[in-house]
Amino acid sequence: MSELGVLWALIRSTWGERLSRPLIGILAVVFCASKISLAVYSHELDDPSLFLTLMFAAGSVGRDVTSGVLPLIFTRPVARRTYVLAKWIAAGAAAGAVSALTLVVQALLLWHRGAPVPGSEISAAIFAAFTSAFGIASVIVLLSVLVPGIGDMALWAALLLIGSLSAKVAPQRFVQEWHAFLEPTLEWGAASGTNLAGWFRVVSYLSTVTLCLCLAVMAANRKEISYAAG
Amino acid sequence: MRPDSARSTRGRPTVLLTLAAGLLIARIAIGAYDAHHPPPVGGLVHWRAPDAAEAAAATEGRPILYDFSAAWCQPCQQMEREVFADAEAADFINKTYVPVRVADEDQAAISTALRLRHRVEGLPTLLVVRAGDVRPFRIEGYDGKRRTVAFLKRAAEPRQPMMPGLDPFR
Repeated sequence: MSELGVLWALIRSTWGERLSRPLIGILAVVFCASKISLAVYSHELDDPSLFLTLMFAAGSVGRDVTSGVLPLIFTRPVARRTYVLAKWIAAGAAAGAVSALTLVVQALLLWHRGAPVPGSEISAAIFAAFTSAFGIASVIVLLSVLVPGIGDMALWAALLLIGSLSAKVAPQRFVQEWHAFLEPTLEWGAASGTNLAGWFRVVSYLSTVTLCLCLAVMAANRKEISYAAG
Repeated sequence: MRPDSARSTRGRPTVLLTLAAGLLIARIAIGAYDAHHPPPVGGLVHWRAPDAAEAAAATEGRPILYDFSAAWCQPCQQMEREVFADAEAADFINKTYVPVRVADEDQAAISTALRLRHRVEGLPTLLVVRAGDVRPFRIEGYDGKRRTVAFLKRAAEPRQPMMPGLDPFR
C-alpha cells in the first residue's frame, strides 16, 4: 500500500474511532446547538471550531499509547510521520467540516429571521474555522505525542492559563505570541491582504503549524513503542 | 538488527523540516523588516491623551474609543494602515468618538491602570466606553477593515437591551 493509501486508511480509522464514542457526538451536537442559538440571538456568526477541535483532537496519539493500540499499528510498515499527519488531518478536517456546517446553519437561520449575512462574511468565517481547526489540531497532536491519555488537554489548558496569568507581569508581546502559538488561526482578511502585515500573519500561521507537526514527528520518532514502554 | 519495516517507520520528515525551517526564517525576516518600516503613526485619527479623555467625553457627550495597540504588533499595524489611515473611517471615528490610543510601550500609570481595568490580554483591542456603562463594547484582534468598521458603527448606536450574560460584545 502506498504512503497516501496508508494515510487515508489511518484518517478513516481515526474518524471511525471518534464517531464510535457517543459522548463526543452528544457533546458536539449540544455545543453546536448552543452556538447556533447564540448566533440567532446576537445576529452574528459564532465560530465553534475551538471547542470542536479540542474535542476531536484530544488524546489523538496519547489514547493510542494508553490503550496499547500504537504497538499494533507499528507492527505494520507505517511511517510515524504518516501516523502523526493522519491524526492531524483527521482532527482538523472533522472539526473544520462540523464548524462549517454549523456556520451555514447559523447563516440560514439568520436569513430566515430577516438578518441575512453577506456571502463574503460566511465564506470568511468558514475559512477562519478551517484554519483554526487545522492550527489548533497541530498543537494538540504535538502535545498528544508528549503525554499519554488525554493529558494533552490538561497540558494545553495549563499552558493557556500560564499565558493568561503572565499577562500581568510579562510583556504583551510575549503573551500575544504565546496565545498565537496555542491557538493558531488565520482570518480571510489577513490571508487575502497583499501588504507585509498580511504576509506576516500568513507566514506566522504556517510556520506554527509546520513547526508543531515537525516536532510531533520528531518526538514520535524518538518514542519507544512497546507494550512494556506503554 | 532492526528489520527494514521497523527502521522505515522512523523516517526523517525532511520535507516538513525544510518547510518549517524556511517558514520560520521568513517569519523572522518579515517581522524584522516590518518593524523597521512601520506605517505612519496615528493615521488620520486625532488621538487624545488618556488622562484627558473622560473629561472630553463628558463635555462633548461622546463615547470614548480606546485603541490598545503596540508598535511591534503586526495586526495592530495592519489595522493602522487599513482603518486609521483611511480617510472615511478616520473621519467617522473623529466625529463619533473621543479616540484614545493606549500603546503597549506607554508605561504611564494611567495607561497601565486602563489595561488592568479593562482586562486587556491581547492586541489590538478596541473598546467603546460610554459614561455610566458598566460593560463596554469590545473587539479583540484584527479581523479585517470591513468587520472593524462595522463594529465601530454598531458600537456607536444606542445599545439594544439584551438578556444578561448574552452580550456578544463582551
